[in-house]
Amino acid sequence: MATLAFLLRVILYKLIFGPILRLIIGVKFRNHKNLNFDKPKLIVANHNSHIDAVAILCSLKMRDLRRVHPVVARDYFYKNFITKFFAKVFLNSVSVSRSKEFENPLANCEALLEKGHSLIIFPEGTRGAAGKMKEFKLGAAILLSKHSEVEFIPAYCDGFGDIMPKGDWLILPFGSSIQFGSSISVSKQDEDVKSITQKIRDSILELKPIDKES
Amino acid sequence: MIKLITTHTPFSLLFAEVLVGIFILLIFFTLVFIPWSKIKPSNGIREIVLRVYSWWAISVLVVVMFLVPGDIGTIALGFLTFIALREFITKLSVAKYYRRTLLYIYLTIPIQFYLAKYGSTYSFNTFIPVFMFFLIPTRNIIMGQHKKYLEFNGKIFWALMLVVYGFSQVTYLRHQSDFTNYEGGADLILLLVVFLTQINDVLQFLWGKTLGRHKLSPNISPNKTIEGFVGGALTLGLITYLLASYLPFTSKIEACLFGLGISVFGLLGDLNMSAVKRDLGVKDMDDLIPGHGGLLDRLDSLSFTLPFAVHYLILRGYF
Repeated sequence: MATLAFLLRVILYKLIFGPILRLIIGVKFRNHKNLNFDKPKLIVANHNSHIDAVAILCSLKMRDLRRVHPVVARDYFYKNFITKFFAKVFLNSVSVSRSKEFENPLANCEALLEKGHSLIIFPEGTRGAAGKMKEFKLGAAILLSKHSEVEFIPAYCDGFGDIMPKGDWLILPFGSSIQFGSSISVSKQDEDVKSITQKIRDSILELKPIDKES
Repeated sequence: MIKLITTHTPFSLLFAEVLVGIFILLIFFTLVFIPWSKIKPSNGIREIVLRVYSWWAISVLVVVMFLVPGDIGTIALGFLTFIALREFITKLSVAKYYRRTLLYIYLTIPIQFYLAKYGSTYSFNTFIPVFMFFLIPTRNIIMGQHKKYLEFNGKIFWALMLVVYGFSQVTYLRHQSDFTNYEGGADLILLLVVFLTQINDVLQFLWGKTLGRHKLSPNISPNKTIEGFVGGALTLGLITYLLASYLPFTSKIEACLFGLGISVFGLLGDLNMSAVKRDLGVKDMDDLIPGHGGLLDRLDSLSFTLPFAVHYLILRGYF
């Protein structure tokens, strides 16, 4: 079953969404060839659109589609068994609760990191308006401070909020790119959760294209 | 060799002769300009070397387009037009103000190419200039806002005319022209227009390099000179005069004038795209192939010479 889901994802991201994003929408993928998930990593990115997650999954190598999991909101993606099924099979997702119903909402994520898998986290927690970055939630930083062997890879998604804004279904081509940074490690002794969050935020903003007209 | 081509492909004798001539020239240019750029690098020569590469791509693509069934050629051309239009529209910051209208803008491409192939001359020539002219503001009015209204309508309509209307001329010429007294047919005149346009760019560059003193348009494109333009135009006129038997015109003088026209419109198309890029504040329209810019960077002069050629032939009643 897991292999079947993996094959479906390969078809979906390598043969359907990848070519569509590259050829029809014209998304530019930058520095994605160097991504390596032999050790557990966190991909942290800004979040404007569902396309963000799709684009990150499209830029992965085939074998990484098995061991990289986007972290999705339990109340949105797992609200009924159909959406839960799709999120599990097609996104390979792991859920996190946004309400305070569990003692450790990050338990699932930590289990995966301990297994050597990697996660995709959007620290803004929800999709924001195009081109603006919200306050970051602390989840990613907590994971990084608990698991010091895990490095994070910042990624900046530019223009996806125009391609498919929140609350809209119509996908149209706009100038867009996804830029990955090199992986960064944090040591837990000298940094607290707040400063790690700031470090993540700065590293993402560093990747923002400078020639962007306002 | 020419016999070999005519027996194995649907190409006519005239077409095969021109094709062989073009590929011999291409090989010659490749052997001249690439060593030149290595020995004496400059901005102008770099531009020409990029053009040599894109001519290879264009030549191979054009030959393939003539060989595959007409429908596949039309769909492929429509897709290239889509990429060119997307390059243009994604550069316009005003585009996101009327997001929904853009769907109709992109849908124009299949409709226009369908009309170019099967529609009447009236529908082909009015769909974008007249119908879309009213449809774009209509869709914007339905959205009920006026912010950047005029700017959006103007820029998007202009992009449609330049890219979609312009490049659909190829399909129109290939499928709806019926030349009398011209063996080569639409395919040959199309090939020659592309060829003459590209040759004109090189000639203007070479004349400008050797004799150029006075800048033609220092603000838009500092590389262009009056001497280069005049020399290029006269040389192209001479070439078309000599090639008159391959062109559909009744007199050699008219062939020569057609060459001068291609030269003028080629220069204007080139300057037009430079002005667009300068206004948008970008160096290239895209980076489709690294170092080569986008499609529109390569097809700048053609965007003016193609409509010129087709409408000239219609006006003079050649088909």
